Order: sequence, then structure tokens, then C-alpha cells
Amino acid sequence: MRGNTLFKLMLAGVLALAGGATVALGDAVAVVSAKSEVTTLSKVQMADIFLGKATHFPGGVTAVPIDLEEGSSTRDDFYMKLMGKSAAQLKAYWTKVIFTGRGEPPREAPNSVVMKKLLLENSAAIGYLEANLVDASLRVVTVVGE
Amino acid sequence: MAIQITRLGQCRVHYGLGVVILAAMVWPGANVHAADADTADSMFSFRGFGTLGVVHSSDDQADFVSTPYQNKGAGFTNSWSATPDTKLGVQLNANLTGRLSAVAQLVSQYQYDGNFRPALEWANLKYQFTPDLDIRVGRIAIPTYMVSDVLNVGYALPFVRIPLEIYSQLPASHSDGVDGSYRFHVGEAINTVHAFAGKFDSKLPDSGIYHVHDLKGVVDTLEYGAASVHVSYQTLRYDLTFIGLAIDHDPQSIESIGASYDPGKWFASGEWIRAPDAALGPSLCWYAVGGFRIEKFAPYLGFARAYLVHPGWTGLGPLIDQGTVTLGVRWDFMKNTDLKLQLDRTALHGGFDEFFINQQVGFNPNGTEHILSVAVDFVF
Repeated sequence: MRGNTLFKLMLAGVLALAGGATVALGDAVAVVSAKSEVTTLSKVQMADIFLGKATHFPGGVTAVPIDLEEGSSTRDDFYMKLMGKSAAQLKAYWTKVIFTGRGEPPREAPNSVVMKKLLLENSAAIGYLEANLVDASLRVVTVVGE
Repeated sequence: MAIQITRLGQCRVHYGLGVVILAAMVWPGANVHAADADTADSMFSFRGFGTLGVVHSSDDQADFVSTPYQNKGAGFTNSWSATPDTKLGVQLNANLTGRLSAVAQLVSQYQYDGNFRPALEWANLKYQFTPDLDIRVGRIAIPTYMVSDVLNVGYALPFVRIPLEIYSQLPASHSDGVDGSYRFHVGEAINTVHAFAGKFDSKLPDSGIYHVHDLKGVVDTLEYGAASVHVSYQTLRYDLTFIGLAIDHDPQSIESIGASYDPGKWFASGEWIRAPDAALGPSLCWYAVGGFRIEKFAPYLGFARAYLVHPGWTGLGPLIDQGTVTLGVRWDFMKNTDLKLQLDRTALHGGFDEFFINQQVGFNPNGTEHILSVAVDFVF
């Protein structure tokens, strides 16, 4: 038990060094496929992509955000850390966008396995996972200002 | 197709269009399902919103209503009334091709003739030239003010209803016509320019009418993270027949500027509106609302004011001259559902008052009204 925790902590530490971001154990981190060119985004740029306000990464490559399902604690953690919005606040935001006919929320992955699969299938995709689920096929995106 | 171009830039949408779109969408062969699944992959999505609300007014000498389209409300007719705020809306979206989509929204709410007959709020086709440029044709929502484009959707609002001082200057909740939207980045900020043209016909209680023609406007929204600024300008002509008043083709323009900031833990927004009107005179109104969020609770405090600067050529006094202090709390007590409790204290300053109708002899046009509202908002 203790060894396992130590291992996770070490893994998180390695990931933090590799990604250049501070990650705590179990925290949500933004990820893309390792084949993606994207390495760094500002907090505002990242938020705009997930709120449907920006459809491209800075530099012009198409960005396809992917959400975990509603109710996922990783999802709630990601949005709280990124923009201070709770699940209900995020729902209120999308309610406004949907019922003005101005957009649709990101596609949802039912779990982290599907999230990983969708990210690997499409190098334009960007999602988030618990830091300890990130492997070499994925890259943690550094969020500046977080 | 049920859209007939009657004049350049103006379209008349038959109710038939909505029925056709609705019928096509619920066709057994169509893949209709609720929105919380993988909507990005399906051609159709079906969603809805609603509010179950009751309102109590302290004044039994007039009826409080939440839109000028309602013929009775809380106060005189019934001490407590469910008619001002209760509503149900359903919306069907269809992604016809990668770039062409259709939307139809039906809203059932209390109307001028005393029933909840559903009305077609929107029915339009949208063509997306690029992810940042689109054009819509048909019945569309117009973003006159920051809060008005979702005025029926309680779940998207911090309060029970948009301030009536603002509603009084809302020419139309939708427009039959065209609009276009273009979004571009200015550094890390996002600017959206939205232009629209169209018309709006509606019926008022007691055989009244309110028709808006030659509606043209432009709206600019600048967003940076949690901050946004909204500026709008529009011109129109209207016909109004209402309680002895008959106005034909009166020119009006409306200017507004608003700002909002919502970093999560708290929020604040405000808007200022000036509406020069030849017949009724220029009106000014503004509101400011702020609140904070503690767990699932969001208490809020708002102020609003609407008044007439000076009478127009009709020589009539103001339709609305009032100020309101609003105190309330939103509780997100379960998924996709909130409960709001709100107290409005409205000081009347002698206007005709389109939101206090069925006025009895004991009604004081300079009185103070207390309105208590309890509402459950939901989306699905």
C-alpha cells in the first residue's frame, strides 16, 4: 500500500518534470497525442477551446476538445482548476450556448480508456486525464498561468 | 420550402415550417435521442428547458406579470400565481450536412389570451461557412442585450427572470429574418460581430398588437477569459395598439453597453440602455447584478431602473417608470436543476406600468410592490 503510493508520487513527480507543469496526484492534466505539435497553451486559450469559443490551437491547427462524461470527478477537477467553474456552472454556460443555437458542447468520452483512444486516433484532439494515467503515447500540455 | 422571401432581407416564416421540421425530426427512422449521449456523432438532438414557478404579490389591486404578453398574474386575480414564470421549451437540432444545420424551438408559456399554447420561438437554417462565420435564415434569437437571448431559459440565468426594466426595452424575443455572425481573435481576446435584420409580430391582451418592422442591428461582443463586454445598436419601426394607444410605424433606436465578469467564485454584470423613441419619448434603463457562489448556493443582489427622459409626440407618460432591488438565492440542488427564491422590491414612479396590469381603483401608481418568487428551473 505504502509502496504503491510512493510509486504514484514518484510517477507524478516524473510527469511533472517531463511536462514542465506542477501536477499533484490524481489531478486532471490536459493531454494530447504525443504526435500532436501542441506543448503549451495559456489558461485563456485552453478555456476557449473547451468552451467552444476557439476552434484552432494558436498557430492555426484545428482543435477538437473531448470531455469526460458529466459526473466524472476528473472532469470537475479540470474545469474548476482551469476556469473556476463547477459542474452546474458549466452546464449553465452550455445551456446558454445551446439554447441560442450558437454551438454544441465537446464530444464526451464515457471513461478514461475511451478518452485515451480518441486522443490517439486524432492528433487534433485535446482532452484531460488523471495525471497517473498518462503514458508515453500522450503528452501533458503545459497550461501557463495555472 | 415554407420560407417565403417577401422583401429583400426579410423572410416570413410560417408556423408550418416548425411543424415540418419537428415532424421530420421525430420521424421513426430518425435517430432522435436525448442530448447527454454522444451528440457530436448523431444527426439529430432533442433538448428542452423549463421553469415551474410561483409568484406572490403584496398588492391585491393589480396583477404582476413577467411579460407584457400576459393577461393576468399575481396580486389581484390570485394572491399566488404560477402563470408569470412557468414555461416549457423543447428544441430540436438537425445537422443536415457538415455545414448546414436546422433548429426549431417551441415554447409554451402563459400568453395574451390566457392559455399556454406553444409558440414557435425559433425555426431557422444555419450555414456555417467556417467555424467562425455563419449565416442564419428564418426565425432567430436576437442578442439585443447580454441576458435577453436566453430570457426563457431560467437555468442559464442567475435570477428568476431578466429584470423587467430591461424587458420593457426589449423590442422582440426573436426576429423573422436573417443574421450573420463573425468571430475573430484579437490577441487572446475573442471578438464576435453579429448583424441581423428582420421583423417581429406579436399579440397583446385585449386585442392589442405589437409589430416590429425594419429591425436592423449590430452587436459586438468582446470576451477575454471570464470578462466580456457587449455593445449593441439597432433601429426599427413599430406599430402598437394597446389600451387606447394607436401608434403606427414609429421609429425607434436602441443602444446598449454591458459588461460581465464571472471568475467562478463570484460574478457581476451590468448593462445600460438608451432607447430614443419618437412617439413615446426616449427611455433610459440599466441594471447591475452581482453574487457569489458557496458550494451549491449562489446568493445575488440586483438593482434596476427604467424611466422616461421626456414624453414623445403622443404626450403620454412613461410605459414604465420604476426601480427594483432584487435579493435572491440560487440553489443547484440536483443535476440539471436549480431552485431559486427571490424577493423583488419595486418602487413605482407613476408610469402606466405594463408589468402591473388589471389595475383597480385602489392601485397606487407611486406605491411600492413586493414580489416573492419561487422557481425550479431544469434542462434536459
